[in-house]
Amino acid sequence: LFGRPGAVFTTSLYRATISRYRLHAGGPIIVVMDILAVALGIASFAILLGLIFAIDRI
Amino acid sequence: MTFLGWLTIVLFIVILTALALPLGRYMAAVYTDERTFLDPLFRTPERLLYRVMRVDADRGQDWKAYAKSAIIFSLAGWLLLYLILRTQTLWNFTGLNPQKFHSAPWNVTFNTTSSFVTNTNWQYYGGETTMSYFSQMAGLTVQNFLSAGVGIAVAVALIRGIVSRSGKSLGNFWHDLVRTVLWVLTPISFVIALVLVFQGSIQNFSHYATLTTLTHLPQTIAMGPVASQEAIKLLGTNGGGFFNTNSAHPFENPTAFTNLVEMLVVLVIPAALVFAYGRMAGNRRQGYAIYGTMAVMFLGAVIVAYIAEAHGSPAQHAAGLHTHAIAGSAGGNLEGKEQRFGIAGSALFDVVTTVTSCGAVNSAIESFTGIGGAVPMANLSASEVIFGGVGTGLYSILLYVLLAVFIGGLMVGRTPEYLGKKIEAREIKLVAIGLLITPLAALFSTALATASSAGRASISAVGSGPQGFSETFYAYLSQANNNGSAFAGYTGFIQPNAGNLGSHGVTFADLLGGFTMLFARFAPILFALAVAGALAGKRISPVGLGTMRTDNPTFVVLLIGVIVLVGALTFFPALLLGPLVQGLTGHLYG
Repeated sequence: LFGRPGAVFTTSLYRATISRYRLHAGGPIIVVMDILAVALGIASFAILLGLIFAIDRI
Repeated sequence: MTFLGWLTIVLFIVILTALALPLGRYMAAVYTDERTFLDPLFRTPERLLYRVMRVDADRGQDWKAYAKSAIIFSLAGWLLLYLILRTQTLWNFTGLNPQKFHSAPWNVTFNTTSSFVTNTNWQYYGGETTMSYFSQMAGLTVQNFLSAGVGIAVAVALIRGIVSRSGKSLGNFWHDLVRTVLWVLTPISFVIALVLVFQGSIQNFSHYATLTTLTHLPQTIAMGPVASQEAIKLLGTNGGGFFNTNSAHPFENPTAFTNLVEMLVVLVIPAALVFAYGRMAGNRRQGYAIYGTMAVMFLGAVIVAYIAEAHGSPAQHAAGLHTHAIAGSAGGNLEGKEQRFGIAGSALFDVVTTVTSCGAVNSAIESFTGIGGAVPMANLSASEVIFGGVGTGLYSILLYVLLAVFIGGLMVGRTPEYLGKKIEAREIKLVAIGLLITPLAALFSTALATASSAGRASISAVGSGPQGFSETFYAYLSQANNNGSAFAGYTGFIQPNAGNLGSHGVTFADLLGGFTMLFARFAPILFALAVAGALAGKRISPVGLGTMRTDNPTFVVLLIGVIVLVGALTFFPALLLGPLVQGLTGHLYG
C-alpha cells in the first residue's frame, strides 16, 4: 500500500500498480480501509482533546 | 515591469484598506452583540439554530470548554464529510451527480476530509473529474463555511481573553460560530457569487457539455455550481477550487476584474479582523499597528515576486529569450500564467493567497522563477501572520505580539505587559510552543517524505534535484500552514480516468498530509485558546511611564523583526536546498 515503483504517471504504471496491490476504489462500499480511516480520524481528534488537559498542566 | 502592473498593486492596497475599515467596525459590532443592519434577517434563524443544537449561547465558556466545543464540532464535521465523500454514488437520486462519478479511494478521502475541515483545501483530486455536485455543495462548500467560522471564533475568543477585565469566560463557541456564518460569511458570499456570475462564472447543475473545437476535435467542458463555491472558497481563505486549475479556470475567474475582486475577497476578512480587534480592545491604534506590520511585510513579498517574475529566470536569459514587456504581452516569465492576468495579476494573486491560508492559484507556482517561487514559500514560512487565514492570521500574529512584547521587555529590563496585562512565564511557554508547532510539523513531514522511498514516490520530477525537494517541502509546508496551494507535481492520487473507477491513492502521502493538517491546525488553536484563558483572568495594570508602547512604529519594527527572525531561523536551510539553489543557477531542473 505504501508507495509505488516509479514516478511517471502512465497508464501502464497505473495498471501495474493496480495489479500488484489489487487496489480498487469503485462504488460507495464501506470496507475495512474506511473503518481504518475513520478510526484514524477519531484517534487524531481524541489526541487533540487529550492535549487540552496536557496544556492545562503547563 | 509595467506602470499598470505597479498601479494594480498600489490600488489593491488602497481598496483593501478602504473595504476592511468599515467591515472591521461591522464585525466588532457582530461579536459584541451590538445592533447591526442584518439583525432583522438573521435573529430568527440564529435562535432556531441554537434550539436545534440544544446549546445555551449565553453561557460563557472558559478556554477548555471553548476548545472542547471547537474540537468536537470539527470531529463531527470530519465524520460527516468523510461519509458524504465515500458514499458519493448513493446520492445520485438527488440528480447532483450527472457524470455518475464514484467515490475517491479511502486514503485520498482521508486527506481531502482532513483538508477541508482544517480550512486547508489541499487537493490531491481534481474537482471536475472526481466530485459530484452533491459532494462539492453539501460536503466541501459546507466545510468552507464552517472551518472558516471555527478560525474566526478562535480569534474572537483570544481577543476577549486579552481585553477582558474580569472572569475566565472567553465567550461562547456556538454563539461566535453561528454569528460568523450568518452575519459575516453568508451575506458577503452571496454578493460575491452574484458578481462572479455577472462576469461569466457558471452556476448550474447541467451535464458536462461536449463541443467540437476549431481543430474538429471533441472537448468536454465541465459544468457545475461554480460561483457559489468560488465565493466562499475565497472569502473563507479556503482555496479549494471547483476545478483542478483553480482560479486559472475561466469559469472560476473569468476576467481581470474578477481577478482583482477575488484577491480583495481573500484579504478583506483577515484585514477587517485586525481593525475589529482594535475596536474591541478599546484602542484602535493597536489594530493599526498590527495592520501596518502585515501591510509592510505583504508589500515586501509582492515587490520581490513581481520583480522576479517580470525579470524572468536565469535559464530564460541563458537561452537568449526576450523577457521585456511588448504590445500584447506582459513579458517576463509567462510560463504557467494566464495572459489575461499578466505578470502583476499573477504575482499579486500568488502573494495574496500564500500570505493567507487560502492557497487558491491563478498561475502555476512551479513555473515561477527560483526567487519568485521562494516568495510563496517564505510567505508560508511566516506561519500565516501576514494577514493570514480568517481568524488564523489574527490569533497567530497576536501570539507573535506577545512574544515581541516579552523580548522587548527583556531588552529594556521591564516586566512585559500587553494592554495592561502582565506577560509571565506560563503565557510565554504557551506562546512559544504554539508558534513552533506549525514549523515543526512542516519540517518533520518534509524530512520523513524526502528520506523515505514511499515519500519520494509522490514526486513528479524525475531525479532527486532541488525541484523534487521544493515540491515535497512545499507540499508539507502548505499542508502544515493549512494553505493548500501546491508546487504541482507532488501527488497522492493516481487517477488515469475521470470518475474514480479503478483509481487509487498514495497512502503515505495521503495519511502523512492528513495528520499534518489536523495537528498543525488544531494544536496551535488549543495553545492560542490556552493563552486567552491565561490572560482572561489577569488584572489590568494602569498605563505608566514605564509601559512599553505597542501601538507605534518602533513596535511595528520590533514585531516584523521577531517574525522574520523566527521564520528565517526555522526555514532558511530548507529554502536554500530548494528554490534558492534554482534562483542562483542557469541550470533548468526537470
